[in-house]
Amino acid sequence: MSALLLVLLAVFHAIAFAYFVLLNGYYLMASVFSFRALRRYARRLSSIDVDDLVSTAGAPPVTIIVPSYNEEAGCLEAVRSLLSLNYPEHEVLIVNDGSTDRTLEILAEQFQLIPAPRFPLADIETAPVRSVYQSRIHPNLWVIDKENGRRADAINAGINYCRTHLFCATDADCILERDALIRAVRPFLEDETTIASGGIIRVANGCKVGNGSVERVRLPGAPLAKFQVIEYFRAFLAGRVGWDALRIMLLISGAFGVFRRDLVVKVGGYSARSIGEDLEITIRLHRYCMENNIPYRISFVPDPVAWTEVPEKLRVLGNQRDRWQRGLIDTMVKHRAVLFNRRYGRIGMIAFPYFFVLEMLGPFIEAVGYVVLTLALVSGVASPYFAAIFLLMAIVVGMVLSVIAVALEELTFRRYPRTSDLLQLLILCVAENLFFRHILTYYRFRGIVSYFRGIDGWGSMERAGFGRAEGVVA
Amino acid sequence: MESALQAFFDVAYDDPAFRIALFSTLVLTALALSFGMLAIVLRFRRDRADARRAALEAEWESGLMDVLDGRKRAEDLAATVARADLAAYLDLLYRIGRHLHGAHLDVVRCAAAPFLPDLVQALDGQDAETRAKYIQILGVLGFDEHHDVILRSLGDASPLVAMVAARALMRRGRHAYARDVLQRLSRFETWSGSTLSSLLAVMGPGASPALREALWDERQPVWVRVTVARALEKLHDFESADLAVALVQNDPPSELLCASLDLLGSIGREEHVPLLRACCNHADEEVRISAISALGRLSGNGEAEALLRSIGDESPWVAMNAARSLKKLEGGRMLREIAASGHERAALIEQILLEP
Repeated sequence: MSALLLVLLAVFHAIAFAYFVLLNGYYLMASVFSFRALRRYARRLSSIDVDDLVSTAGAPPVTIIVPSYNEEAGCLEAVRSLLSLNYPEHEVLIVNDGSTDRTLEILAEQFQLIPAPRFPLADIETAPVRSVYQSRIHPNLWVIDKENGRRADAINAGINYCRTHLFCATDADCILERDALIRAVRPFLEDETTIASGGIIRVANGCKVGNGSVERVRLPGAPLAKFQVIEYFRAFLAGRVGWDALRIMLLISGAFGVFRRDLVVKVGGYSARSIGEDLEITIRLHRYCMENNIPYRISFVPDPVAWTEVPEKLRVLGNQRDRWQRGLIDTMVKHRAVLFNRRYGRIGMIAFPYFFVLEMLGPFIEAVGYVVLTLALVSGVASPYFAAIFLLMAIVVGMVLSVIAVALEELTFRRYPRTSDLLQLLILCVAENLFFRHILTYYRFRGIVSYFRGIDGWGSMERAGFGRAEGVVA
Repeated sequence: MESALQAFFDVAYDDPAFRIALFSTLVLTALALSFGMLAIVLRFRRDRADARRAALEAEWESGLMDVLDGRKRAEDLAATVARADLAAYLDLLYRIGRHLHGAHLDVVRCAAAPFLPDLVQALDGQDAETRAKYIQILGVLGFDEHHDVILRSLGDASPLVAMVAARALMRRGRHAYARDVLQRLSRFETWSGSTLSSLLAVMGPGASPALREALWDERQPVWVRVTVARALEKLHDFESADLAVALVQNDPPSELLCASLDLLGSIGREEHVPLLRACCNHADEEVRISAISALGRLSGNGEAEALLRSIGDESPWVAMNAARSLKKLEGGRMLREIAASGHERAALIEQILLEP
């Protein structure tokens, strides 16, 4: 083997090792911060009386914007859940984004929609709005029927018609818990500089859903969905709680976030062509506030829950992760000026580099790592024992992080009441690191390839609806 | 196989880097197992604790029903509570007590009374969350005897404790504490003004004199005066009208001007209309919105022209408020005519016409 190749191998090994240490060090650090923050939050919760908060007339009216594209399977449950929220004053704006299925008809039949005039109060550019409807039986339910854009375009249309200081963006495949909105709005009550807040997303597959709420929490039956339960624990309980404690919240999930309408309008609304619109708008809000010296806070609150369906089939999961990765790269490239830029404080020095290096480049480094390792082993350059111990260590570190996430859930919210579910989750922490994470790496790597091939489609997602065995199907 | 194993042991024992990697892996495995065990232990401990607490609460609730029905004395119920279960007992009483009023609440207070001095004593040395919890309990179950402790807590180092104390003071009929709360309002600067003004208004009309003083006090920060003006608006305090007029005439910062105009819209008289009309052309959009809304509430049909002009305002928010005011003023006849004339705001007018 040539000396040059050996040098390249050595360099790559150094990069891969640094990546490994950085990634896992970051997750471990975030977990430690999350542990402290969650313990404190759990204690704090006992001194917060949600009913009292609701009864306080100061809770501001909120408009819930729900972009819907071909959501005939789950839209009814989602709308019912939104109409039954425990919140003093809220409007629900469903934006039918040019659905080709019966979404609009189902909503019209079920909620007795009639055409009603409604004037837009902002002028963010969107695909044309065809009609606006209001429900005769729920006057706070409106449906905006527009030509197909994308999710971001549909939310922008909703923002144009929003009449309240705050809006909540969620999805038609999500079910919000009854207190979710008041809990998510709480940061706005406690800190006037709050411009956005997000809540936790949990996996609805396997749960019993009825009358717009999750009535019984159970683990999903499909293994792929089970793995995503742990993945979501890690992302929210160990990740975002830690970010919030460090004040580096760079992502308010598109499935459930509350925003200040005027600021979102000022930054021009969501990026209509973006497929990573939730990350993109959060970064743009950070940038806008910092560039204009506006004191602000973007918060994550771990107890308001939005339940969502996750893919149960590999193909659908692959499409979803491919799209997420493309959205991530697109946003990172667009806002690359933030990377290691002191002007943006912790966001520029910690949060953005994390997304840029570990989340965006990570799948590339990991995928190339598998190839290089194989080559090195085949050519006899690497010791098989070192390779094996390194792989084993990677798996065990992943296991530690997953188990910590499950323990954090157990320490705080304990949403899975059956002990058998807990035991399953712990066993899955091992299996997840043997299979699931590698599958995700593959799909995320595919996302990188798709991005550079110029693929920017959203992909179609047909849903089976809540409470059905099949979950999400392609 | 044998040679492979031999090679493994050679590497394992001879190479320090390998030994470190192996050791780290073992430590991490132990860590994973420990956390897994911790989760399981937590589950069993908490299940057991929850079951025990549920049983105790059922017993206490039944005892409390007996007390409420007069079959048992509150002191007898309190005597059944072990010291170790004090926190759970008081928490239950708090949850029940916060929904009660009058004689029923007094019974729950009696059931809590023997333990409240201990709670007060335990306040020092607790973390902020526990102190907040204790103050919350005292606010509902022992306010009359322990209001001094709650007042002191307004100055607690923790903003959470201070806010819980303020919340305990800002209840219906507790207007005697309005000045104390206003003195400490700067502690809550980050809080939403809307929430604070609602809480201040909950204290009732008795708080108005203190609120009016704060509104007129130029030493107070603008946000405090705005919050106070909003509270007076919610209280419909007619005596604030002259104060609001004076403020509007003094050309205060726009937030305070808006709050004063809103206050005037709520309690003003027809003689204030010229003042409001003058503000309808203010450069600040928010001021125009407040002035237009107030005008619609106070004026007669004579102001329809001014409102009509504002429907053509560049800001759709001003136009929307002007249309709403006009609808209130003359029942929608003019609005229907404008909508039929193909006005650029026709869609907005139709929307307002259909609003309940």
